[in-house]
Amino acid sequence: MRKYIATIMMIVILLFSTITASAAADSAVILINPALGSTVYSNNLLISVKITQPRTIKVRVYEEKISGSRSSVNVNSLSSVNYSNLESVPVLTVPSFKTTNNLSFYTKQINDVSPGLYRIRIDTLDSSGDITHTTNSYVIVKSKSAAADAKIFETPQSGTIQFLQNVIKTLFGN
Amino acid sequence: MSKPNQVIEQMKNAILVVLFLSTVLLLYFFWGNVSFDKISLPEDRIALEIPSAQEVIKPYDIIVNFGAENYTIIPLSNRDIWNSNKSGINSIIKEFHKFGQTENIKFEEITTQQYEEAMKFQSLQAKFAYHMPFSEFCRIYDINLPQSANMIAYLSTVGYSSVSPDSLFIYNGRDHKYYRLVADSGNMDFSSLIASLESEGYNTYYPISSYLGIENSTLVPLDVQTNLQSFSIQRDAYSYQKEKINAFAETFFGESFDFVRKITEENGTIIYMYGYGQKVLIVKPDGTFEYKEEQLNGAGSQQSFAEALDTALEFVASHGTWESLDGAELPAYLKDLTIDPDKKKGYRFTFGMEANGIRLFNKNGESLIVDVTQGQVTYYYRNMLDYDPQELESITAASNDSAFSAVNLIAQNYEYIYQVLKEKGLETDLSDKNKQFEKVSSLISNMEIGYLNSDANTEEESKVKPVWVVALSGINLYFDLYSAEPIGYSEE
Repeated sequence: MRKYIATIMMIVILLFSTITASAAADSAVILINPALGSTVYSNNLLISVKITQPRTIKVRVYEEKISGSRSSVNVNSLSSVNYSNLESVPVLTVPSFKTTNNLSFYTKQINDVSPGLYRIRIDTLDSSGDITHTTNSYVIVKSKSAAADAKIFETPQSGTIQFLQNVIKTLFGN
Repeated sequence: MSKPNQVIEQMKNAILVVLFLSTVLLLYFFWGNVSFDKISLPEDRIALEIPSAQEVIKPYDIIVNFGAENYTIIPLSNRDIWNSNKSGINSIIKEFHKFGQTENIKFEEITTQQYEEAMKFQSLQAKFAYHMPFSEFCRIYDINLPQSANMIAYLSTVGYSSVSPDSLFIYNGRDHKYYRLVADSGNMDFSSLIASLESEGYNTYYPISSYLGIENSTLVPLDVQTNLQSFSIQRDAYSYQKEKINAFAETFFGESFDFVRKITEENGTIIYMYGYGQKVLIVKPDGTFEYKEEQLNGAGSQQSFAEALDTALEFVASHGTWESLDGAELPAYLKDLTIDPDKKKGYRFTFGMEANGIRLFNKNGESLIVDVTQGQVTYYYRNMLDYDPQELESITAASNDSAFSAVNLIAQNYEYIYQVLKEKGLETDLSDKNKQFEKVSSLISNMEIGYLNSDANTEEESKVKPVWVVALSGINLYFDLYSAEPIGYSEE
């Protein structure tokens, strides 16, 4: 009997935790920039949030750093990052933004961001200031690309070399 | 008679003659209705103030990309960056001069994709609102380039990119062609120019796509602090100012003014006509002037762009001047250029005006238009404003305030904008609000701050207002700068 009750309770707990997780996002609040899971090559970060109903939101930005050392994540070697060993360091906390329109945008620029992994958290607040919904999005920030690396005006290679390259691509793929 | 007495008598005779001639001359002036202003030695004439070609030819936008989509658009008030004679101040034209001094410049046509890729890096683009003959541009700015430069017929944009630091880029918008001018050795220093702009601080711009998630590369500022306020204006002339209008009319007809017919219509329009319409000046009740002159066949030869522009600049200076008829000055710039207007060989120059470094937009017509065909001015339209310079200067002392967010102006007004497009027959009926928003956002081609003269046909003093100007599909829509309330629109 006790085992039966414990099993029912586990199922109920799991069920409710799933529901809580899936109700976290507010469908009227959409992060436009940076795009979900994108990489930004800049030292400035533009946050743009589209709000399609009268809402009050609060935006926070954190850098996810290595716990203990508080060093930035190596964005050039993300596969080696231990994601369970990260701590959130606040980068931006701004006053809440309230809109009474059916379409508006919250925009904010964060200057002088260094390369790393960042989390943008958007909370929807009710009239009492309590959080009703939360959205978290991650973005990778890397340094600006060097112009010298761009090969826009390089002269095309000779026909023989181009032919060999095409053969290799055909055999081994891109 | 003794000798001294003879001398005295001769002196008396001389004085009598002088007095007699003076009397005749005075009688001629007072009874002959001749203005003293006309009596002057050539060297005593006040020199006409004529803006130079370099002063009026300015890029509409100078876009700086500091790298990785960090943009700014240089404000009009900081146009030393385009061309400056001041020592110690670098400018785009100075860099162009340096480029022209290098040997072995190679010209090559490049693709649109190559140009757009190059401009994604640290770069600078000076964009004109019209296409002017490239050789004439070089002549006006004393830029020496080799003969092979003739492959570039027109210039619409001058560009630089850190991807190719020893090169300049030219866009010919008339023929949709891009060119790269490559020098053997590098003596330009655009990177320092861009670095100094970055260090001075700037208004940040992003493409519409970054804010709204809708495909559109038009740059829009993130936020703007400004102290622009309305100021009072009056028309160049009111219909009751007959002496002022007459004096202006006289500049067109000269000695034959006495033979000019003057017709006053019921609505207050005054028409001055010489002969059977060889020269016609129309003075409208709204304070605008329109002058038409019959083309004299074979009398003049076709002028180059630079020569025709000089003709236009001199003509305005001697017919009303570049100031209002009461002397209030608003700096002019060449706003548009039409080659061979109405199928006549020549140019139509449309000039715009600026106030305190901000462009003036007229809801009803342009400020100045001059047609120069076969070396002759055949059309001149004038819609100048008069204002109190002290009032305009006092505005610059006002404290800054935040202009309404450009992005939220679009969000707040997309339905109104869409309605205007529908009324103009430019868009089909879309009932879905999301699709309306996407459509409007994708069509916006320019957003800038300006002054709006929406003066209707009133006799009263009116105001010029600071506004947001949103351009799309050939229409300029105007919104209050601080509240984003729609004010109206006009067609470009």
